[in-house]
Amino acid sequence: MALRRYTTSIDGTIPVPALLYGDEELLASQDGVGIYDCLQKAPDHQSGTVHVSTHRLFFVHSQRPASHSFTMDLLHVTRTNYYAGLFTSSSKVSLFLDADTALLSNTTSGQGAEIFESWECEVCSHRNPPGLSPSAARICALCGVPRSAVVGPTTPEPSSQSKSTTLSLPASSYNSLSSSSSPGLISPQPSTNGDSDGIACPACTFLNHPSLRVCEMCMTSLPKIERTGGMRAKSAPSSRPASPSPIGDNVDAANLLIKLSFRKGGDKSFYNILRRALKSQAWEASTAPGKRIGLNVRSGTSSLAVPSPSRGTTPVTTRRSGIGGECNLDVLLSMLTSSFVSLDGIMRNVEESAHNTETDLNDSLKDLEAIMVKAKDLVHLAAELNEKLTASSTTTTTISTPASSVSFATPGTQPPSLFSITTLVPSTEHNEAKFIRSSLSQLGLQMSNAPITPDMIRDERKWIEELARELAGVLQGSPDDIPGKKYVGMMKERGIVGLDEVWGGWNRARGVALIPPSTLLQVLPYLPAYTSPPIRSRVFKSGLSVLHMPPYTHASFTARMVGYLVMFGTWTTSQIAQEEGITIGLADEMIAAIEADGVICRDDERSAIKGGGSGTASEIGWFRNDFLDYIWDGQL
Amino acid sequence: MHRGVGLAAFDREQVSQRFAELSSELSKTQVDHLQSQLTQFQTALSHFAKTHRDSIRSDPTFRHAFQQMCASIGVDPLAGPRKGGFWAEMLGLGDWQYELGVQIVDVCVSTRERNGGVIEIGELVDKVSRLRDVESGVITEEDVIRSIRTLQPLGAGYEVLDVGGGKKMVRSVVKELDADQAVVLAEAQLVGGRIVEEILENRRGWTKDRARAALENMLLRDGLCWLDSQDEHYGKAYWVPSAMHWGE
Repeated sequence: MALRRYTTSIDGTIPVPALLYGDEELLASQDGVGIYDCLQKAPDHQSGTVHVSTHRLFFVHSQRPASHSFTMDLLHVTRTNYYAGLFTSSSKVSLFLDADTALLSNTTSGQGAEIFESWECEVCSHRNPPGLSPSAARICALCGVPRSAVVGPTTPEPSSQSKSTTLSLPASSYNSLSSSSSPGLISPQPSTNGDSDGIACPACTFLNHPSLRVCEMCMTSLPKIERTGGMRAKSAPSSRPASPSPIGDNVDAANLLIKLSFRKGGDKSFYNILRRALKSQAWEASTAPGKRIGLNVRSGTSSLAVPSPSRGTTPVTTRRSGIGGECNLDVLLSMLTSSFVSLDGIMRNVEESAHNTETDLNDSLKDLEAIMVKAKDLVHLAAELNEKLTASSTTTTTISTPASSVSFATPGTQPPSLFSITTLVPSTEHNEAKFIRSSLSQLGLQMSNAPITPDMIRDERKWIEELARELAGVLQGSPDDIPGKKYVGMMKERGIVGLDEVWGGWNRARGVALIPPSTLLQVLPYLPAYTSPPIRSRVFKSGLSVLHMPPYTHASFTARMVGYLVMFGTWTTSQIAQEEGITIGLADEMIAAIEADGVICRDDERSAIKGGGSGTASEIGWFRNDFLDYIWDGQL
Repeated sequence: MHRGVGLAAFDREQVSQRFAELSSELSKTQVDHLQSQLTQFQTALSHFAKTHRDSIRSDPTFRHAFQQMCASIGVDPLAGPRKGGFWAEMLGLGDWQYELGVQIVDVCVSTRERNGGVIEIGELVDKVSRLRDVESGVITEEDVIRSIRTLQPLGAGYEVLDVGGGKKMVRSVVKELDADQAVVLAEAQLVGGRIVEEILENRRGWTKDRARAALENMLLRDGLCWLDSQDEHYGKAYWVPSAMHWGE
């Protein structure tokens, strides 16, 4: 019963992706599924594949896809239940359906033809493309004005607009009449259920060939007949409607359900995806954009908002000045004079919007499911929160810890507010949070894409290469920067970085999908191919490994070194370090490597004991190795 | 046309004052709201990180979103107690070691500014525990030391130093990348070779820890200076030979 009232039949021979609306997305599929109608097995739907999309559930029969497949809008599902299965009984998912929306599916199906047409908006004359879901197609894509010419498919009145009331049937069969492209599932049309194969046209009664969709004579669309084998076997009186339960019949609401029985497993993941699809309510999204979480906070301009007569909110510009403690008088004054908004109204509205955000946040943070569904909005909200608090604290306080000039930690990528934020609200922001916000993860290491994991890529070689690409993004900033947001790579301003920082920073950017050190080492050889200028790794004699920019390669350093020595004769290690702007330890290592090549040679003579003390009094000086070109002729 | 100052202007003045008050009041309440939201957000995120790590990990897009949220709100996505237990670790199933490793690197790198790259192991354990939002005692010194050992392949030179008296320090800066050394040398050159911690603190604004770490590094690791442990004034002074002026 539930099946008949909530589903519409589809031609399962068409691949499911082709059946989707323009704004619909296929989420998951599972084969080996049987359907229970209410509490009994539905005899015609015992083996097939179930697909779930953002808007609908599809069932495609494995043997007879053309006749025994159906689709159901997720809109009807009020709650779900999961049964894990025991011994021979397979696991099942029950979908409880909303008794009030039963009608809707029928009208929706009845208007299939109109939905799949393009239409012109009356207000802005925008030509809306066909193929959107019913709810999305109800409003103009450009101006958002509802389509007035057509009765909305979700209008609650039973639009029994079937023109052909010639057949005085019980009310239940009205759907089969009004249906055109996707006709009613079961209820057969009595007059055509005789021995002949033809379908009687509801308008001119001409008997058409069963495969036709419109009448050959008058082009009226034809109802399609469901001929089920089961019915024949039972040899039911052919003229009787399959089950004459009228719309208002007293089916127990508790039993109004459809069960999916997973004979071949896959139930758990499918159920999760289904639940998520139900939670996200994609069919609502297009009709009620105002319901999206964080709207009040996100847009920035709407945080100060005044109620307009229509109870909508008129955003007031310059949020920043409002929050920063200065008064945007002009705006307020103009509001006051133009639209008679009282101060009280402003206050109330601010309160209200804050309250809304809070309830939204509460809802979204209730459990993991919810947070997953709203993830995108929450990311915005989080960024917004951060930015706002930052802005407010920088304007109210001018204190900010002076960043020490030397060493690592702040290569100019941190917003200056990381420290000052605590001065405003020392009680709420605890230490760890402050630490995280100032630590590696804030080095500007946002990645524009989700981190790559092995399960995304099968081929090992490809996996390493993709990782190299990702790492290059972390180090140099992504080339496809989002305007307004600067992604500064780790090595944008530094020539040489230790692997510990690289590893830590990269993993911080990846979040919870960590890369072990060994994998990082595997990735490094591929790195020069994805970076420009190429970043190479270098292992020093002491075992230290670093990533460095081209100026620090052995060859170019050697060239510069020889240049210095030719110009100045002799230089000490610390002089070289100073000239190069690198640490003495590093200079030492790199010079040692050059010395090993024999290009330069050391002068230890100066480090002989001088003055009064013992030990090395001064540093080693370096000379160009002029002996290299000499050839010893064997004579002393 | 120029209008003189009239009563209306006076009124306007008052109005603008009222608006200014209103504005600051509004922004104050807003900041309060934002604060409470932030706190709520933080609690929720760290709760999810602790309890649902696996589900978060298994969904790439959400994982990314989660990471972004954590980064802007200030929650460590790696918070939570040890997962998997002993066997998971032995079989290489647990990411525990790496998680800890990332946090150790994070703490070390971020505190370098303050301590010159040498951190007391107790402090490190404490900081990591707080990042993970777990009780003290869940993460032990042993864990940290073992995790540092897994960082070995990186060749970043992390090492645990025994400084005597049962006190252990973790050094995260290697000689080659230690910029402090150059600063010490420069300062030493200015004062003629003899340098004490106080000079660095006063002239460079370094913390005591950082100054001491830099000098100790120079003395013990690099062998670039001598120690005078009987200095008349400070008790302990370092002499940098390459900066000394020899009365010849």
